[in-house]
Order: sequence, then structure tokens, then C-alpha cells
Amino acid sequence: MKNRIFDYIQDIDDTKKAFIDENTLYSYGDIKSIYKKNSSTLKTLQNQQIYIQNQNRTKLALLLCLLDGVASSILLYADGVEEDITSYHKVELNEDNIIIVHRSTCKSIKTDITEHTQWLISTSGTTATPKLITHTLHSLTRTLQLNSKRSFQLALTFDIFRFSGLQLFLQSTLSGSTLLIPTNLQKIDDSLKFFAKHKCNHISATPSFFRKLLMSKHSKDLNLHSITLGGEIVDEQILQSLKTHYPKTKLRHIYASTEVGVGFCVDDERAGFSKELLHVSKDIELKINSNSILLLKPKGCEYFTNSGDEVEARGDRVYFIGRESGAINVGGNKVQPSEVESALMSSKLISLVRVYAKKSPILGELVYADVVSNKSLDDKQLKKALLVHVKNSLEKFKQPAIIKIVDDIILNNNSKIDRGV
Amino acid sequence: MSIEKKIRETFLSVLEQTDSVLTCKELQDDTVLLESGLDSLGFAILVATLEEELDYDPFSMSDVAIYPKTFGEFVAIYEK
Repeated sequence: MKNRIFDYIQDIDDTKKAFIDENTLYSYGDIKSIYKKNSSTLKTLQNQQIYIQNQNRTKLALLLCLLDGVASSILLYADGVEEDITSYHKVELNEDNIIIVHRSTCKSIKTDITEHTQWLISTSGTTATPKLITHTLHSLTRTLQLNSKRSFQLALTFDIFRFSGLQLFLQSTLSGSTLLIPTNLQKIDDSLKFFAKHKCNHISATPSFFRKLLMSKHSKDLNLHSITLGGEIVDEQILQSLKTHYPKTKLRHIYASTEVGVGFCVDDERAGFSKELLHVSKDIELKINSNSILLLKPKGCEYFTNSGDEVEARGDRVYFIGRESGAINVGGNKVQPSEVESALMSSKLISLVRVYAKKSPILGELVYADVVSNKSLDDKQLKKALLVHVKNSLEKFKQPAIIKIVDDIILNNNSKIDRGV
Repeated sequence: MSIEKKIRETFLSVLEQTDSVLTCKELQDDTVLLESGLDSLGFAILVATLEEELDYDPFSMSDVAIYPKTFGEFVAIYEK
């Protein structure tokens, strides 16, 4: 019975490559030696609560291989997480791959591992503040298909401390594949050159990443066995373009909910999913409620969980429309309209504002803002002043892409701003 | 104003809006878009702003997605 990541690694051939970044290569044998080298420190961390922050992706991957099954809980700390971490020990891996422990000064809370290490990971902020969700190796891997006979060279396009990145890391490591870890994903040409150099044959990424990939001349250098899209709504256009660009590549898209911990996979190369999935239950049951929100019930759970995703049934398919909360998905980054609205209102240059999503052929969705001027500036000056104003308080992807100056903003029957587009 | 001129003008204003700078001397037909200084957010804003000004978005109108690699290819999509 394999209860921790290291149990899987022990069965993998030492010479197989586990992680490659632009400077280093770690084989599965290297991970075993690093484990051995740190065994006395690992003993001291048995059943302790720890957190990891600001580690580069390769070091984080190594740490997780060492600590799963040792610590009682591992908090993958991301910006914006509001959690009292005073009783957690901070753990990092130094340049020589020695574990450094910054002990908590609080009386340590020792909790026995009941079954598996609890992993606390943050949602991507679909709600106003990122929430911490608890997972275990078991809950994260129950829908993964692990086949150690066939190794892949997988491109890592997500952060490992997020749900999607963690799943990709586990998919790769537990099946003895190689994870290719690029230094800076923003530099798409460099990342694609790196993937091509190491014979990457699988990429799992957002539709926005693939749209950018298709704009790069290096996209033709990749010989991909399979592509997985996820993290954003997948449309017919991106699927068609990838099919044309990589005719021999298997395409699938994945719908996953961090909150529920699982999702399902669509491999018929069409957008949305077949209505049949609403009636056939395998690993997960699906239902649409009266507000057109998708509900999920993983195998073994008693209740349906609200996914927060709005869907629409058309013909033989069910299509994703957006988030129930109105959150805008800009290339995989979630934006709450209310946060942008308050940032704009605080300029005191406008009397009314409505922030909403508009479809973008490049990034899925963009942030649009309609504003009613209080007439202290002319229209051109106002747009400029508002953009300058929000630069200090909002991250780039949250700043309105387009500001429209309108005469009035219509409120709905509940005196709320109508966000319907 | 010609479409090309409009696109050039909008390109520069989006660079300013996103706190980016042109990383080549000037925009030429063979300038590679991904090396021009605009990141994908900037590029998405450029397409959105042009839609506001020209009243059409050739990327959404096309059945088959188009992915221009150079500035010249980008302009040609709008001139079609």
C-alpha cells in the first residue's frame, strides 16, 4: 500500500529523470539520496505542522517528495492567505538540498497523522480572499491515471502550490515521468525552446497559455503526444486551432474544482461536456440546479457541492458560462468586480461604476468598467486619471482593460448593479 | 486615418497603459509581436481597444482562430 509520495519514488528506476529546470537535473536516484541525507531532520519533523513559502518550483517539488507522509500538515503558503502560521515550522531546502527548519516559537502542536499528511492549499481567489482547502495525497490522486510503464516529459505551466500545478507534479512524479520546470513562463519563446530541447511530449495549461504558444514560432518545434487544457473555459476555437497545429496530438480538457478536489475530463475534442455525463456517474456525479449552477458529488461523498460555475445546456452539450459570483477570469487569474469597483470609486472622480467581464479572444475574459463621470474632468483626462489611480491598488490583470464613460448605469430590481453582459 | 496608422497609435497607447515599453526601435512589418514589449495581457487589451474604436474584432469574427506572429500579419488581419 502506497501512502506517501516517497513510497512511489522508491519503486522507480534511479536513472530516470524526475525534475529538469534550466540549470539542474534531478533523477529519481537523486531524490532518494536527498531523502537519505536529510533523514535525521525528517525524523524531527514527524507529525509536525509545517509551512513552505517562496521556494522555487524545483525545490518545492523536492520538498514535497521528502515531507509527504512525515509532517502532519503542510501549508503551501501563497500571497494573500490569511492563516495564523505561528504554530507552524517554516521549512526550506537550501542550495545543497539540506532541509533548514525555522522552528516555531509557539508550543508545537503535535498531531498524529491519521491516514495521510494534510496539504493545505489556497484557492486562486475566486472568492474575495483566497481560501485554504485541505487535501491529502489520496484526494488529489484518486482520479489520476498513473502508468509507470509509459514515461512522459511533462511541461509545468502552473505554480506547484496551486491545485492544478500540484496535480501535474503528482501525475508526473508518481508515474516516474519527467517534469520540465521553466524559469519564467512569461518568456514564452524561452520556455518553448526549453520544452523542445528536453523533448517535451505533454503540455497541460490554460487556453490563454496555448493562444500565446500558437503565436510563437517555436510552437512548431514541439512534438506533442498529448495536450490538456484547463483552468479557464475552453472554447471551440482554441480546440480547433490546436487540432490544426498539432494534428497527431491527443487533445483533452479538464474541468476541476479546487474546492471539491476533483473534476472530470472531456476527450471528444469539443467544448463543454456531453449531457450524458449528467446521467452517468463514475467517479463523480453531476447535477445542474435551478440557477444553472453545476453541482458536484465525488464518489464516496454524501452531498453535492456547489461548484460556483454557471452552465448552459444546448443541444447535446453543457457549456460553461462563467462564475456564479461574477468573478472575471483573466487568463486564469480571478478578479472580483467589487474590488475593482471600489478601487475606481475611491478616485472620487466618478459617481457610479459597473465592472464586468467581456470575452477576449486572447485571454478568455477581460475586465471592463462603465463609469459615470462627476464632470470634474473631461472624458479623455478622466480615463487616464482612473487608470493611473488604480495602478497603485490593483494588480495588472485586475486593472480595467477598457473604461467606458456612460451617462447612467441601470440598477436591477434589487437596486444592485446589473452585471449581465 | 488608415487602419495601420490607427493600429500603430493604439499599440503605443496600450504600451503606456500597461507600463510597458517598445523593446524594438520601431514597429515594422516583421517585428515579432511577442518580442515587441507587449505581454499577452497588453495584446488582449490592444485587440479590445481596437474593437471599441473600429467596431469590429476580426479575431472573434473568424471561425478559425488566427494567431499572428508579426506586426505585419496583425495589421493584415484588420485590413482584410
